[in-house]
Amino acid sequence: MNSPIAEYHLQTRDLVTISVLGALGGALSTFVGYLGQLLNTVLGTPFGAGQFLSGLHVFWIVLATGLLRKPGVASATGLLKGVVEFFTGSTHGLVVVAVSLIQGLIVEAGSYSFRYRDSLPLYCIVGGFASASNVVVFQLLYFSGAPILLLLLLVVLAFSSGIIFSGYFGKVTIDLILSTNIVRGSRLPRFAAEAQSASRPRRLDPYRISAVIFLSVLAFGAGLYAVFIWRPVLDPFGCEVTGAVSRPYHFNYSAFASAQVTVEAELIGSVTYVPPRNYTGVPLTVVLAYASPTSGATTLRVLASDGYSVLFPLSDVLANPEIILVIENGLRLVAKNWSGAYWVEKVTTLVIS
Amino acid sequence: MQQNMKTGLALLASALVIAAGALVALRLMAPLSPNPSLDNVNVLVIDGSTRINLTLSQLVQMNPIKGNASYQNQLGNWRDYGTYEGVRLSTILETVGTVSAYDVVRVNATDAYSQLYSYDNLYPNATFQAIQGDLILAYAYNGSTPTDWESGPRIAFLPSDEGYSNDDANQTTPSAWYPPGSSGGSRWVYWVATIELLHVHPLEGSVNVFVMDGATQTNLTLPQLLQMNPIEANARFQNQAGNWRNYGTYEGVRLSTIIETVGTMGADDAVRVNATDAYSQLYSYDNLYPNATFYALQGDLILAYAYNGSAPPTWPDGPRIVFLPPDESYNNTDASQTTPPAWFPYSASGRCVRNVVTIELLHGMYPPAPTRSVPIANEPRDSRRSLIPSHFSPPKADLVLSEWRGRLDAVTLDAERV
Repeated sequence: MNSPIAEYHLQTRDLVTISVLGALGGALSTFVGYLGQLLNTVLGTPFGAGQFLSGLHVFWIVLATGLLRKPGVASATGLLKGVVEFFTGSTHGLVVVAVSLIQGLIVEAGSYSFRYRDSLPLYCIVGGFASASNVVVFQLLYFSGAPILLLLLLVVLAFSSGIIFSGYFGKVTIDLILSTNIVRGSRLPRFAAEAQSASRPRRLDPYRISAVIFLSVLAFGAGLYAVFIWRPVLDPFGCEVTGAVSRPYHFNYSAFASAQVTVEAELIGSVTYVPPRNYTGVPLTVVLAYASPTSGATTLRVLASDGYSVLFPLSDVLANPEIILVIENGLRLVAKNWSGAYWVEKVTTLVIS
Repeated sequence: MQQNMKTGLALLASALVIAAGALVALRLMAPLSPNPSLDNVNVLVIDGSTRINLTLSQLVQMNPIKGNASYQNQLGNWRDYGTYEGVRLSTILETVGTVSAYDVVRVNATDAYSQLYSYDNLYPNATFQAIQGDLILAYAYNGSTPTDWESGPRIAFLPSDEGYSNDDANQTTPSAWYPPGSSGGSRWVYWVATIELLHVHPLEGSVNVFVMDGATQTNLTLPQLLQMNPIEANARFQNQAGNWRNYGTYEGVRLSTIIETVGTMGADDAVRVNATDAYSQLYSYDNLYPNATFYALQGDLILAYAYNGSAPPTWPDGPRIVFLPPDESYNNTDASQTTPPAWFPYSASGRCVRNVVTIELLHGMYPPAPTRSVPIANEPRDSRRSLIPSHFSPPKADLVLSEWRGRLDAVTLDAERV
């Protein structure tokens, strides 16, 4: 029998599990963000509905915690997931590392308090609190002045999402994975019996079917997103200019640096507010003028690497030299006098039609 | 364990119900705004000192019309399709006064939001009718009146295709009333409280030209241009293919008069005129102050604010640079003989910049230095050739793009270095 201290040590297999789940969670975060935008579009809400899926971010942390049931697993998975999100191009920048780490710490604290019990209610509660924490953290960092009622609603929605996706689907996925014997050996000895029990072959019941369906939908959706929506940022300081133009080309910021202007703009988003400050960049009028839009063109769609897009009337863009492309965490569109939803980060494509 | 599972499933069920409720609440709260009082639905119609309060029951008796419609929002999504019933805004205004072609109507909502509507919006001609349809104050939506319909009373357009798009709004609204970020939906004022008839010049604000000489800058609107000794003459001009275009009566102010509001032009100066799409042209002292030879070829050089009696936005090309030669015909030969080769856009029409936004006096810019020509022979005029030449290759950018001044989209091309 191992000593009590030794049994809490993370073994190589544990570290591999944390790495795989943290990396998966980080890599799929842009997909979750895209689903959130899609939900907003479907429901006709300008923002907020995406919180219904925020539990999917915490799912990976709960999954790692439930599989390994050792101290430090949740925090490490949260931190790793945040770092991967950051390096795969999260529009939140470094803030996402803090958000993810806090979610990991919340799951850690909850699980530790209940001695890493393998319990559906526990996963639901810690998942709920961890999911809801993102709303609070973002408000602390970017206080938007949004009505308190609205913020409460978002907290409730995120909490519910944590129960559903982190708690319930976390637990069913844990049980499903344990039944495959992949991680049984790495568990604490005192949990080995439970793991062995969970790993016994059982016929498929609705509980396990729901896990299979959930994982299948997640994998299928992520696959579709990766193939059809997501675009790798091959040139972080450039974008494609295409569509109804005489001269489609690849815009490279440095080639147009001599056309830079500085504008003072204020970002007024739905839940984000950035006071007026100076931005230096290349006016969209110049970028589009080089492509020479055809006479019948009426709209400009700006696409980001995560699939987000906004539509501008072309005439408004051509008449306003204060809409600029700046270098900020990649190529960012600063749309002065337009709502925050039009300030697109990680721009990859400008489509004129 | 079994108990844990039951508790967990109960939590899951509760979370699903709460999440559904929260999503519905979010949908209802978008946009989050206070609801106006829906009691005592009435609309105040104002013409100066004449004020009439119209109640819902009175509106219902005013020759109502009905039609299906929807509008596009900022993101291009179609919203609120349904059957709108209401009274033409023109009919409502006729209860307080007579609407002339020079009047403007302002509709105010209970939350202080407002929109302006032109005579053409109220009394649409065939073109406007095809684009926007009837403009009504709707008091019912899908059979619900404002006591049940929380967006009413509401302004609505009833186009024949049942869709009031952002393009429709853009085409039937003066640009000054349709700033960036506007949409078809922004023209559909909801919670209408007052309707005001304003007897002002209808085109005020629809012409807005920025004139500058270095730091000296001024804004010229139509009322100001009208006070600057306007002239009127017939003219036409040739395009690259040699076809005559845009014959008609142009009304405007000499460019020289406009420049004199900010500075004095010398013989070695130039004037650059920029359009909304970044197209620009340079004009010499001789163009602005033509001697007998130049006058015979080009006539007066004006900034036209009206064409055949129509000003922007009815005239989509205006304000426009126009030459008014004595023979009423500004051909490509006239243009080439009165334009330095380095500035010549290969057609007379290319010299007539449309949708002018800025006019700059540039000192010491004339005569232009010799330069290699930029072949554009096959490029149609409609493509609105940009200042950036077609041979410009970004990786080897030897173009000087400078003097970006705030809102002005002026680009200086140093042809010497090309």
